[in-house]
Amino acid sequence: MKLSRWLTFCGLGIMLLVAAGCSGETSSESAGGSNYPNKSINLIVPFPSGDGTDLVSRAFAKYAEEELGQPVVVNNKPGGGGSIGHAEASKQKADGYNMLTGSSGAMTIKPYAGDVPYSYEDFTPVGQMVEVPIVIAVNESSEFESLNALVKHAKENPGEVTYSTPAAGSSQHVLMEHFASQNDLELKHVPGEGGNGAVSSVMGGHVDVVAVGAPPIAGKDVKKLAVTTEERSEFMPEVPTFKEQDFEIDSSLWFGLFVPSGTPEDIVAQLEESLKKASEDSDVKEEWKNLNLSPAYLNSEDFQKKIENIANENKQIVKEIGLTK
Amino acid sequence: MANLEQLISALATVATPLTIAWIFLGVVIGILFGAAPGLTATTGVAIFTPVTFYLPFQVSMALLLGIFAGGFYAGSIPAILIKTPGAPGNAATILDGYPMAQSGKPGQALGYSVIASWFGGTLSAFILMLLAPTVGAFTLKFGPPEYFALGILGLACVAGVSEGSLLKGAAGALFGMILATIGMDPIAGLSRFTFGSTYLMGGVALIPALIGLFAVSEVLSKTEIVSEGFGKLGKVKNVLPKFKEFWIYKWTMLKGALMGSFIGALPGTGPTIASWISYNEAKRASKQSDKFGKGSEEGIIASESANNAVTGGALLPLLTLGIPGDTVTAVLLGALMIKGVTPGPTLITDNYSLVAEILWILVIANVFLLIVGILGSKLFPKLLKTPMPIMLPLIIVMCVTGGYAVNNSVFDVKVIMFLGVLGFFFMKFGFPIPPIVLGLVLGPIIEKNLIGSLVTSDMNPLIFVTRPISGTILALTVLFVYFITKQGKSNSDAGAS
Amino acid sequence: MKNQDVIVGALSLVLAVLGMVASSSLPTQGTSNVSAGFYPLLLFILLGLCSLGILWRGFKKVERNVFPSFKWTRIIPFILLIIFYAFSLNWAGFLISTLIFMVTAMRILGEHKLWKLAGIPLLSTFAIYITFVHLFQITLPS
Repeated sequence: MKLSRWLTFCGLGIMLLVAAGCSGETSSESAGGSNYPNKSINLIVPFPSGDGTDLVSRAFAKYAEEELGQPVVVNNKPGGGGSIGHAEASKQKADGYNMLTGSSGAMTIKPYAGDVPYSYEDFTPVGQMVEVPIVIAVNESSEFESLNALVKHAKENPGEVTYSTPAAGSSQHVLMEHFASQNDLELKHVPGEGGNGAVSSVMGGHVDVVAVGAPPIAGKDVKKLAVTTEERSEFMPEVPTFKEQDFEIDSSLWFGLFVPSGTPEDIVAQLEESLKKASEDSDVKEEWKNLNLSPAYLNSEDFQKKIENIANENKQIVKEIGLTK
Repeated sequence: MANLEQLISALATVATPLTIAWIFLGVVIGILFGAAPGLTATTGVAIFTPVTFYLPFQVSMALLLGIFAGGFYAGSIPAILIKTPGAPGNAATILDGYPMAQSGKPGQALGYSVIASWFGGTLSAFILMLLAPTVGAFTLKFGPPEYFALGILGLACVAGVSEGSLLKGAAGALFGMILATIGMDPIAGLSRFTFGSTYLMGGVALIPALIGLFAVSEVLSKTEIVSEGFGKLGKVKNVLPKFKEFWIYKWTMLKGALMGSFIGALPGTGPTIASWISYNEAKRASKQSDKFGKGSEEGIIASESANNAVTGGALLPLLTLGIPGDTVTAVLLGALMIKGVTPGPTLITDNYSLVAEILWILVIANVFLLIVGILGSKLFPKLLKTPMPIMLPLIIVMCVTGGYAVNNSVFDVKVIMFLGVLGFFFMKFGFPIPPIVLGLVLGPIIEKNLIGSLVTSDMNPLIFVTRPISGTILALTVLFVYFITKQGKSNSDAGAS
Repeated sequence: MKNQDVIVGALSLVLAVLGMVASSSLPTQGTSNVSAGFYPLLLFILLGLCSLGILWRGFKKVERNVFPSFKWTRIIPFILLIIFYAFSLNWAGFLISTLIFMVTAMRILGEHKLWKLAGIPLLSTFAIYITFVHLFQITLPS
């Protein structure tokens, strides 16, 4: 009896040692600096696998793997409009082996509108990957031919016009509320089932207006009234911008590569270089474009400035439209 | 629209040894993913989408659609054998599949499931082939009030699956719906009942919740009666039911497949709702409704034919409108776009051959599913011979692995355990589990569309009855509940006398 | 007092009341006229009604539902074990925590043979690990 118990302990001990040996490969200390990277790099994608963000990240990961000589492992942590993945990434070690595909909404809106334990300052931007406008559209048979006609109608009929977005608290939702308060409109939000669901509800005539990013709406049978970016989109060059129609809106959806702040500068520079090369690579570009996403590389410094500006702006907007926590 | 010549030439394009081999590979991968609790067809398709970047169109579709079809079917294997749905759409299969397997007929249960799956999948592919443009346009007529009505129709199933007390069933459903309100509210995106946890902002993830409520609670109750085998195991010879035995259920199967195809075509619904509604309707129409929940063949057939018919159904709005019908097709949309194919209204008119190829791949995938499934039905039940002291811990480990993999989240594993323990006590106190699950599945659809409808109608609830489609669905719901409760009464009367 | 309906009904009534309080304190966002608490409040009210019904059944003794019996000596250790397993994933990783879990669970369920207690956990843990990580390319907690 005693012997068998002793043997059990021994057996357990050996098993634990074996297991520890197996998981040891991931916990070996990083040397940092010159021989970076010397083990696989983890890339957190805060959206489900198969999502646009995910496919963009995977295309980059594949390129970076060749470039850096170490595997880049995509790790999807979806939920809460991206905030779960961002929160998780902000807690990772700043050793260059943890990266995040950060998105505009989770980075610059959620910290002001939700209970999230991070802000954009917890990350160092490596560079922007892609950028697309938010598109405002109406049903194909709608009477509105321009944004002005829509605004005029909404002004005369307060509380009559309904609009759909991919989700409550999304960039699209914030944009529409901002637009409404800018122009003294009373619009009603009917949240959709993701971008595709929002588009289908305007196609079926269940809401008057839809505000979604370019990917789900490009090529659909709807009347597109305006895009939010400063310049027209390459996927729908016929659609005018807000500014062209005299509305003070300049915003976009973007995502880029981030590392937790405190990551050594030379590593950030090295990652920045490979992101730059990736976004110039014709295969990568082709894949991104096929997903209706425009490659729009920005370097670490420019991206940082852009995020600071947008975050400060959104902080105000969120307060103004009453979406604060 | 369906041009015969194009259909035949598409078949010729698809029927090359290479493509067929890839379909087979896809089906096998799909069955592996589907059968592992927590891993679903969606995960499988998503993981293999990057693999297809450099493959030609037919081959990549062969692989992905093979995974799609195989994964949808295989979720019924763990549902029947160990009471764990491989995917949410197979949850209704548990109700009769698991009792049937426990009573010594696991092979037969798997056999009925695979044939019903094959039939549902194949029929839905042909429906897609013939009716795509018409049905596609019709699904757009579904707005918030219609989805709300559909959610209520699904909720009516509570009446059918609350063995024992209807009151406790209703309370369970409400509890499930309350669990589903955790997270960000659908109107403004504010945190609700999250107790300051970022993880809860994403809500209670459905698949981990299902694993906890069904599998872990079952394992806990089994620990009380540890005996040698996990279940009784009769001879596993007659996997294939005789044609005559099966023919009795032709209408159940056909109805299930039609409902699955149609409900699958509605964006945002998917296999879970389809299989529950089909199950409930089969119970209503059945001459042996008292057998439901105790190992009824009809129950398995209704749930599985509808579940697999969603494959063709969900592709329908994707190919005709560019709008995915469920989560898997949302991933497929990305896979198609990466290939430079943009699904939408013009795809069918300009490029019908591509659509036809997809349909043939689906049909061939279903043939493989039938073959592999029947072979497997003889093999898989042997697993039940594993002694309980080994089987129970292994089931927990599989639940943990699969539940973790859904969102790569240890938090989800904690949710599994918490709901598992809770589910165990619910069972002990006579609360049936299925209504809780129904509430959890339907809660978000009901809330979002209830609020959406009220917002568009200026808070006037009459909108639900004045619109023809939602009014019809709600009327059907009332009829449903009436028949099911009447049936329940006459059954218990018969039992008493 | 041994009637389970009374206990269950009382418990869910408490939950319903707590829920009603919590949902009515949820805020309404600026422009919308529906509060985030509107729908949960509705659910909690319905749950409250159901609880009253269950309580009533309990007092009227519609069914003689006695308090269920539990095999506590096995159930409590097992529940503690699975909860420990979930938490240990965070700091011990998949391999170690799964090994510990498998061995302890098999022991609790009455497995005595040493070679089984050592062999089966090792074999199954590594088989699952290799299938997931190397075949499916799915990461597991480490």
